[in-house]
Amino acid sequence: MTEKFVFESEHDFLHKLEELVKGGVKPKDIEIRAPHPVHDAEEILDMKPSIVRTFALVGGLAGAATGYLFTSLTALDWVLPVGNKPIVGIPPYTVIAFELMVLFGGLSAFLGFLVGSRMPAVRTVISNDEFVDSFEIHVRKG
Amino acid sequence: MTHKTAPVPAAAGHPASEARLQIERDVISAMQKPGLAYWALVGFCAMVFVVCLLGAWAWQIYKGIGVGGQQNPVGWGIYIVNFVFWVGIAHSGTLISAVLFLFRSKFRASFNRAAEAMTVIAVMCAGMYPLIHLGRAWYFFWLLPYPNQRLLWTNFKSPLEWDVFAVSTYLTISVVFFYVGLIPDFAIVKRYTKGFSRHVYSALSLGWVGSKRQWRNYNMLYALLAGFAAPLVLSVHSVVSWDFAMGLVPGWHTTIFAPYFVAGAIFSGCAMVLTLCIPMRKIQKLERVMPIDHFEKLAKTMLFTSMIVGYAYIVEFLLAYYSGNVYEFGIFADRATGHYKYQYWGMVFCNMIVPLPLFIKRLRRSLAYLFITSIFVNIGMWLERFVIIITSLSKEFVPYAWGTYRPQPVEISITIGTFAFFFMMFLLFAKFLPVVAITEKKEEVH
Amino acid sequence: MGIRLNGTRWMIAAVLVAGIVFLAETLLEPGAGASLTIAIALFLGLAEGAIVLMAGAEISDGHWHRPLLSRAASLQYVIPAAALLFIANIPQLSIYPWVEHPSMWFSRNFFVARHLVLIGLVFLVARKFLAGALRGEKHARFWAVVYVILFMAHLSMIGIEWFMSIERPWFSTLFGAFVAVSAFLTGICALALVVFPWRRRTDAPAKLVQKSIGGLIFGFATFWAYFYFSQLIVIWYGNIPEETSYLVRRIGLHTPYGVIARMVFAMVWMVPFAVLLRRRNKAIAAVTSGLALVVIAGVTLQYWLMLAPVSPVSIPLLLIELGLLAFLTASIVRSHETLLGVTDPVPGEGGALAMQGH
Repeated sequence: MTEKFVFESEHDFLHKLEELVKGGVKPKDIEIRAPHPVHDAEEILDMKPSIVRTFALVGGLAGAATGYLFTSLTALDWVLPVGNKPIVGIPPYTVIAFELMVLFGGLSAFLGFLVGSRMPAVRTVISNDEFVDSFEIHVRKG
Repeated sequence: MTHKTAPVPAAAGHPASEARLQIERDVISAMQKPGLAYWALVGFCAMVFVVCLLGAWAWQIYKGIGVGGQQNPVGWGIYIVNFVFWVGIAHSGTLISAVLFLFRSKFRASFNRAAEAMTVIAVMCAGMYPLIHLGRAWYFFWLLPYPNQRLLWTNFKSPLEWDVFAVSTYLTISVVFFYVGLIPDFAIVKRYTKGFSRHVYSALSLGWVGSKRQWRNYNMLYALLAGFAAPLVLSVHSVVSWDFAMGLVPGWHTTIFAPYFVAGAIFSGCAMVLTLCIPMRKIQKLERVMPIDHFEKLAKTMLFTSMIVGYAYIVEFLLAYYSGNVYEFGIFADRATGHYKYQYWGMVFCNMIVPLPLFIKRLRRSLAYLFITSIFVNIGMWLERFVIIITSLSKEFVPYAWGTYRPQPVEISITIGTFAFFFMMFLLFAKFLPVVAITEKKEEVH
Repeated sequence: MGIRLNGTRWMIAAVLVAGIVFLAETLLEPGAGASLTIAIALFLGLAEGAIVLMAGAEISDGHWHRPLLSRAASLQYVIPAAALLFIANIPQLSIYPWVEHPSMWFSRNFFVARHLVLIGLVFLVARKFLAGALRGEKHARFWAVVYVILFMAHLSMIGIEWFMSIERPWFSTLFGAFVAVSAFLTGICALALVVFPWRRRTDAPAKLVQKSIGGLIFGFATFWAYFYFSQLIVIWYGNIPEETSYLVRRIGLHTPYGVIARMVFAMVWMVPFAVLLRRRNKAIAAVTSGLALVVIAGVTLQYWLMLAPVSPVSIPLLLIELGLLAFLTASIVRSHETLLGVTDPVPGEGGALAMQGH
């Protein structure tokens, strides 16, 4: 059983949300719909840090490590001196490591977003659920 | 308070709600079925693309790379010029979407979608050129590090190999960034469409409804992608500049190249955003969502980067003089007075002189003036790459080996072909995707 | 820290500092003249960098910097003090190789003249801009633009002529811009120190200033690292003896400077980057001002590293000069109300600044 409130303005919506939370409704029982990001709502609902950060961090570190290791190990696999450069040259490999850090970090952040927000939500895609232009509060009861 | 306990859709009436719906309608109506003239334009671009680019490229493959003008000593002709030019054009998209996001600039919301689309398309254009330049394009996979029978790996110390990583990372991240921004907008477009296209937009929106969890993760993802993309945009054009600066060719081997190229890239990118958005605003009737104020800010950004580019021109020249090295100074003096002096002075005029009147507020706010300036800047930045690449190679070390270069019909045709491809893709974008970020525009409504 | 200054006291203090330094330089440590150049460049760059940040914020319609403006504006009084010190430094110019073989551009007199004129010009434009900005006038924008251009030109000149020319004919086209970015970074750090006394304020404007400065240190320290790397890799890759000699002398591990070069990189980029990666740290005053000290020390070492391998630098003298200048700068910021003739807004209102009639 859920109770639903619909608002047209951000202000009214935030007002009601605050009222509900202060009135003792647990944030986890509240679901919202918003037509654009509302940062204050996140604060009122006191949400956990997003897992996207962790995904990005792990992805970025893995990318940087891959960048340095892959370049160094392949260079050492068959030593081929070129242009009087050291076999394992840190400055040039930094470029590759940086690019891979961004690549892996960005892609894994996107993956984290999909995981964290339970997307793609196949049921919504198929159904007629819509992303409406109004602020809604759904309160789960019982 | 206007809350209702029944699941009734919000009725229009509240001014904020009305303003938000107006934004939706303005942007969605730009996506209405294109008229015949529009399709004719797309068709024309497609035809030019097929004939000029694919046709000329096929001819080049059939006859060999020698049909172009690239010869000793100038082994890098306008294919490489175009490569650098298009990568540069791509940069303002990331600047506007990522860097301005981090600086919390409001005016980005008018342009970020168009600029991101432009980035993706421009990187595609840029990506074609190394393949065209290779001659035997089907061997391009030799650039990629993959396990092979010869037990050989690519040379990761080569700047050309860095390019492979930089440009492909850039393309991937730009596409992800572009798509992520589009997810909530796809969900809005879904509401306005019927039948088959409704299913397509619905699938593309991945089931977005704007729940707390979705927005929470979305905001975090967007900020992180901006954080990744901002240094990426610096690195990509730096890597492109290092294709030159790592060599010992006089005029190329100079430390200022990386920041100078990045500034130039953003400069040319801003110009291209203006070139595309000014007509688009008019044709698609987007006056309400793309206010003049925002164009003025973009013009300021362009002026600022123009000054940085000017700084680099001046510093390079003065330090060549400072060094007291006749060879170092010779190459710069030759640029200004030698075989390619018209290109050089054209570059100085377009990039340093033409943007200067933008210090006047009235001119910054005149779209016609901005449009003309942006065309000059586009030409100027193309010439800049021409001057850097061609003049340096044509007079390398041994005077006996000096020579000149003139682009041949095949090369010119391919160049025209990419412009056609670029405009074709942009025209398609403008009709099939929302050209302004709707949810971000809604955020400005209070 | 510092003493209360007014217009007259400020002038006396500046002359006093310049006098002490001049005597110390010429009497105590003859021939060890690079130390004063380092100290002047640091404080001149820091003051001009802080003001250029204000100019940038003004041009881009920022509002976050408003509560800071009067304090940052008082830093303009560091510029003439630096000019006095520059005059005191004239006997030490013999550290440059070109003094022995003057050319048209590089001769002692012309060098002194053009730098004094430039510093004077920067001071005048900074005054114009800041006076306008404090009154909230529209034309302050125009002077802000002029100031930004002048800053870039001036700091590039300082980089090229004060630091790079010690190894003439070695040159790097990025050098001037690199020094300008370093100076800008120290300017941001100086502002982090300036707002340290606000650490207990919880009003929105003070918090916004704190957060913005934290973010700027993070961003521009990284930007500095990008410039560092861009300069390094071109020279490393080219591997031409006439270019690498400069770097080998400074970052080669067989020299005493190698370790310090790595320290510079760690202090100016690695440490602030690692600490500020956690977003929460950006809003903690103790963290940002601590990092600001580390970064400023790092940039000082960087300037030192540019000169020391060629010309001996007296470390005690350098420390005395840095201390004196720090004291003078702190006193100037402390007395910003009397020097500029403004009163600060009540904490929490932090918007427009009221002008006091004089």
